[in-house]
Parts: sequence; structure tokens; C-alpha cells
Amino acid sequence: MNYKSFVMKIMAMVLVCVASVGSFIFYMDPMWTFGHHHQNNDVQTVINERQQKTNRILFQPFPYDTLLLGSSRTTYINQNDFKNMNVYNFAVSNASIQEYNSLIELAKKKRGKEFDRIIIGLDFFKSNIKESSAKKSMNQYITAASEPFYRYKNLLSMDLLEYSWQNFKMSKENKVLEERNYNRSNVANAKAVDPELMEKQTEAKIQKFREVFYGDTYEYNPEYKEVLSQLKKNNPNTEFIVFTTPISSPLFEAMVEEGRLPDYETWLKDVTEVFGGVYNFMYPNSVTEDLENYFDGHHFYPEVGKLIAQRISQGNSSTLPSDFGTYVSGTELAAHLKGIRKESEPLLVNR
Amino acid sequence: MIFNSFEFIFMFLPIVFVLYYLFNKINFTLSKIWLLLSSLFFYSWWNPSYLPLILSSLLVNFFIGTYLGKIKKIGQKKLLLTIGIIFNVSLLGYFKYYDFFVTNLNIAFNTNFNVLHLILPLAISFYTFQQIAYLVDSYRNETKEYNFLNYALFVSFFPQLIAGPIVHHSQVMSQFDNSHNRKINYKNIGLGLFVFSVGLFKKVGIADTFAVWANKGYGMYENLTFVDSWMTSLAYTFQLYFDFSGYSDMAIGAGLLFNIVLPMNFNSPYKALNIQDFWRRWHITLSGFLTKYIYIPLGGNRKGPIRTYINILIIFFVSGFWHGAGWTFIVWGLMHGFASVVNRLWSKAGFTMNKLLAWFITFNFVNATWVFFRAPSFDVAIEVLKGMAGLKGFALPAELSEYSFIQQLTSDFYQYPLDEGFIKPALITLIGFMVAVFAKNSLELKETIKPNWTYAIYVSALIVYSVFQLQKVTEFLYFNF
Repeated sequence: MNYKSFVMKIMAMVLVCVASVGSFIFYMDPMWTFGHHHQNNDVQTVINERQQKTNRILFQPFPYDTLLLGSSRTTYINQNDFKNMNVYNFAVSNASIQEYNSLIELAKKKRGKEFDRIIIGLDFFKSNIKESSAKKSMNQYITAASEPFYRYKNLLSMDLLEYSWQNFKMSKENKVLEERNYNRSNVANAKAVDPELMEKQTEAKIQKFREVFYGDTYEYNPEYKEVLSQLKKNNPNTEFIVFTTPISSPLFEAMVEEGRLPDYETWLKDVTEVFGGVYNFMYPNSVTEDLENYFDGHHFYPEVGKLIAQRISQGNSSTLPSDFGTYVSGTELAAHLKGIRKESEPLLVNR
Repeated sequence: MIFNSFEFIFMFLPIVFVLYYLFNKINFTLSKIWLLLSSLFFYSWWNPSYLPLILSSLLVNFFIGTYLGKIKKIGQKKLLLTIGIIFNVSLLGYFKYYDFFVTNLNIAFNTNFNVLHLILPLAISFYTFQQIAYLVDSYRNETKEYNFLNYALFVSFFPQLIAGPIVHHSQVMSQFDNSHNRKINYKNIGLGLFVFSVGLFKKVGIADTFAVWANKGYGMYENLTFVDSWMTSLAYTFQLYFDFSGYSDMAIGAGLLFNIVLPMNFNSPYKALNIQDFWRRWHITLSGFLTKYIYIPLGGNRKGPIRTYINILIIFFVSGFWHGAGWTFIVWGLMHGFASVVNRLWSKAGFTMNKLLAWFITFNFVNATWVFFRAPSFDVAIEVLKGMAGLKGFALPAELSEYSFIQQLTSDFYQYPLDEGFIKPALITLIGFMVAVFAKNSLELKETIKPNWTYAIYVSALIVYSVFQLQKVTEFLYFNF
């Protein structure tokens, strides 16, 4: 073999490998930078929602008039279940209220103007000062996506080859195999867990919440209201719809037992003062009482997300459980809280 | 731009390569202009605002160098050379050392001068040294009538621009002028691809793996016990070697694609049997520069033993300070200087040492002194060294408790903190050690290469593996919160 042939063989082998793997990653598109969909990529694993959902906004058409924000619970709400709204679900894992402005600005920039509506799913445990005081932004994800050749660089990544293969297998089986998998329309699904595992996960979650979030380390963030007010100020022409995420009744009871009911009341008071009202789903009701609606007592299945979307966008639809979710305005809050306090009295006595 | 990047491997290098040889078919000068413009683009990719800096440095040094070769009066020559050296040293001093001096001045005299937090211009340490060498040789009438294009290429040729090798004008200027080099040479391309692929793998496949452990170890220096400290220091020792020598290999490989042979910069330094031997193998072109342009002008070993030792300490002081604007670098340099003096005294006294023991002492000295090189402060370095000396606890990683013979030795086990387990990093460190100490290095391997299927597959596999490691994706750890 002479050196010319040697060089040509190396170049050919490298090109064949790079082109094959790159094509497969492109075909599967695990970072959502291209947008094509087919039956082999319709189950997508969560690599990093912030980056994936940012990529989707930046690299694909964005015809939405409503933005849905929230943390992992809100990710399970199907954006297409909201009637008369064109919603983009920009909820991401472990979101802090400090991130919302950055998320909104990013999406607004793509849209070119303010949103008609912004829907925010609020979690009580995120009102803890530890969970909501650190300043956060989406800059690192925007910077990453703005790097030259970002989309094409991603086609040459061993990590993404592994994710692509994982997505390919799940798509072939057409099964949701993880706690959260997306389809190509930004809709998340959860793997159904058997009752025994669900019970175990719920117990563990409640224990963790007692220790980490609801216990003595909890301190209500005095800046919480101000951070939310700022969102309104920055979007004067946008209608804000806020709701509280429905945690299971045992987890709610743990919150009460840990002495957090006054903080819960302050939280709802602040939220209604800023937005004029709130769709409250976080109190014991027929949906939260049924643990089969959750896989860990904290995260509900998409079926519950559908009910939330219906309540928000269709009001008192006859298909909804009547006790699940109620819109509470500032004037109605005192009576609403009184009812919840009364229901919780036995737990308060036990404390 | 860095070699181990998508932009370099898939965009810059192929475009520059193809157009270079296309322009060569039209005009040799045109192709060199293309190579120069490409090199400046390569430099500017990182931060275009420093392009005027390198351009003005090129122009000033070229004109001073040319003029030095023309004037005859020794007094005028000395004055011009002094101006040239002051210009280069000032440039480097301002960008690299200003904050260091001001900080120390403020501490020593309780003053309050502002630090500038300047970003160090890429490659300034390298191109400053190359140009000082050019000026000194012009003063000595050792430079020829170079034209500006060749000179600018000698300084800015992209393969060696950012991290060396520090190229001497006599090594490459004639190559840029040699019209035989305009023809495509498949042997050079084959060898270049081989050396580049080995370097790329050393950087991406090996050094970056060790980097994770080294960074983690130095990040938690207060809690390092015996095993952690050794794993941390060894991780950095191998990271640095595979990283820097990998980068030099990539430079040499990329140079060969353009028929330019760049000098060897590493020759298996961890095989060294004494500290002088180490410096003949580690960053060879820097040692060459310091010897030729500082040690020998200071008198070298011609003025008696005491002056020789002082001269050695001076060049190691300069070496330390050149590596970084901090006291830890200076101390690192001086430690090597003292070791070099001791080594000379030992040899002079006629003592000999068993080769294995000599290697063992040298390797451990180098490993321990890298701690000062890596640590951000003396406190951190001392903590790591204390851990290595066993002063911060001696326990074994929990994974080892499964082996009954280890259970008989100790019952003190703990969770190894630098990775998810201990066995894998320990094995990789052992492999890194074996490769660094026993294997042939890339340039030795280059001499044995044969253009056959085995090597073609080997080179392709290294490139493909490395390319797919360039883009890492970070998972979000807090999934359901």
C-alpha cells in the first residue's frame, strides 16, 4: 500500500463512520434541534429539558400565543389540552421562580412580542427561601445553542449517539419506559408504575419532603411576591393565569403536620394579591385523595394534567370532578382558606 | 480555535488544506498568503480584539530584526536590540504579569493600586519568545534576509501558534521558502494524520479523563486522605503530560499536512532517570530557548561552579515565572532548579544510582512538584502534600473491602470521593502510567509506521473515537423536582 492509498483509506473510513453516526443522530434528533418526526423517534428521553425546550424554540417554528411555565409537575400537562389557546409548555425540572423571567424573555424574543397569556404552575415547596432565592437564568442554554455550528456539532457526540439509540429502542417498542418521556410535539408522558412501587415511592417522597422541604429548614421567601410582581411588570400586556400544582393528600397532610399551613396561607395570599386570583388544586379533593393519580405522591400522571388544563381553559366543565380545582379571587381567599383549615384541624391537633 | 474542536477538524483544517494546495498550483506566494491569513483567522476565532496585538508585534519585530541585520555599529545594534527586547518583555509583562506585580506591591507596601483583570492574549508567551530569539539572532548576524511573509508565517503558522512547540526561525523559515514543499506529499500527510490522531486521542481520550479526577481532587483538597491525595496528584501528572504532549503532537501532525516539520517537544519525560534528563524530554523547545538565550549568555557553565548553579537557578526561575504569574509557579521552577543543582553535584561527586531507584526518585519528585504547579495557592498544595504523606488519615476505598486479604490488613474503609468507584480510576491511572513510562511515544511510533490496513484502521479508530468525544452533553441532575 502506498501513502496515497493509506491516506485515502483513512479518510474514507473516518468519513463513513462520521456520516453514518451523524445521520443516525440527525434522524433521531435527541436534542430537538431539527424537528422532524417519525415513528422511530416519537419517544424521546429527557436529557436536559432546559436545553431541549430552548432548542425547540430557537430552531423550530414557534406559532404559540400562550406560554406554560412550571416545574416537573407542570411538564406532565399536555399543551394541546388547553382549549382556545395555542400553548407552548416551557415547564422544566426543578424550576425556580427566579428562572421564570428568563424563560419568558427567551420565548418572547423568538415570538417577537409579548404573549397573550402566560400560565404558571406554582409549587408550594418552591416558596422555601432555599428553593427560590438564588438568581437563575437561561443564559447558559442560549449561549450553548448560539455557538457556531451547534446543531451540527451535536451530530458528532458519543453521548447523543447513546441517547439516540435509547430513543430508537423506546420508539420501536412505542412505550414510555422512563419517568418522563416526550413525544415530538413537546408532550410528556410518564411510565405507569405498579401500586406497590407507587406506594413505596410515595412513602419515600413524603419522608424526603418532611426532612428537606417542609420541616424545620423551611422558611418562606419574603421576596416571593416581589419576584412574581416583576413578571407582571415586565409583561404589561399579558394575561397571567396561575395555578397551584395538586400534590397527593398524604403529602399535603405531611405539610400540615410539619406546621407549614400558615406559610401555605401566606403563599396563596401573596399569589392572589399579585395576580388577582389563583386556580387552587393543592388541597385534599377527590383527585388528590386517589393515589393512583400519582406515581410518587408528588408527580401526577398526564390524565390529571388534562383535568387541570380543562379547569383553566374551560371553567366548570361537566366532565371534571367538581371538587378538583377552584378559582380563588382575592375576596374569596379568606373563606377558601378557612375551609381548608377546618379540614386540616384534626392534623393540627395531632401536631 | 483549538485543535480538539469541531470547527478546527471539520471546517478550518479541511478548507485551509484544500485551498492551500489549490493556490499552490497557481502561485506559491499566493498559497503562503492564504496560510498566513488562515493562521490569523485561527488566532482571531478566540478573540478578534487581540489580532492588532499580534500584528503590531509581528511588524515591530520584523523591522527591528531586519534593521539589526543591516547596521554595523555595535553600540547602535545593542541599543536597538535592547529596545526590541524591552518591547517584547513589556508586552508580555503588561498582559501577563501586571496584576501579579500590582497585587504583590499592594501587599508589600500597603498601597492600593488597581488590578486590571486583563485576559491573557492567546499565545503571547509563545510568540514573544520566538520573536526575542529572532531579534537576538539578528543582532548576532545569524538571520538571513527573510521576507515579511515568511517571517509572519514563522511566528503565526497556526499549528504551533497557540501552545508551541516554540519554533526557532532557523528550523522553519527555510521550509516556508522551499518551493518543493508546495507539492502535495502523501507520505507527510499520512504521517501527519497518524501523529495528529495520536495527539487528539491523548488529549480527548486520556487527558480529559484524568482532568475530571484532578479537578475534583483539587476542589476538595481539605478532605483528601492518603489514597485520594495520591490519585489526585497522579491524575494531574498524567493529565498534564497527555494534554500538553497531545497538543504538541497535534501541532506536529497538522504541520506535516503542509510539509512543515515542527520540532519534537516531548520525548517520554516520565521515563527520565534524573531531573536534567527530565528537562531534556519535557517541553524540549522551551528548554532549548532558555538554554540558548538566557543560560549561555549568562555564562552557562563557563564561569565556575557557583556561577553555573546560580545560572541554573535563574533559568528555572524564569521558566517557573513564564509558566504562570504566581508564586506557586516560581516555587515550582525553583524546586526544579535546586533539584538540577543537586543532580549536578551528585554527578560531579562521581556517585551513581541504581536506574530503577533513580527513575523512582525523579518521577516522585516531578509528581510532587506538579502539586505546586496545579494548586491555586500554597495552602492547597500543602494540604494535598500532607494527604500524600499520610498526615490526613489513611483508609482504603470501600470497594477494596471485598477482598479478604485486604480485610486482614485493615478495617478502615471509606467511600472513594473522586469517582463513583475506585477500581476503574485506579486501573485507568495504572494504564496511563504504563503508557507514559513503558510505551513508545508518538514520534517514536511515527518512525515505525507502515502504510498498511492495520495502521489505517488504527488511525481511523483514534480519530473517530476522539471526534465523538468532542461534544459532551451534560445531563440535568435534578430530574423530578
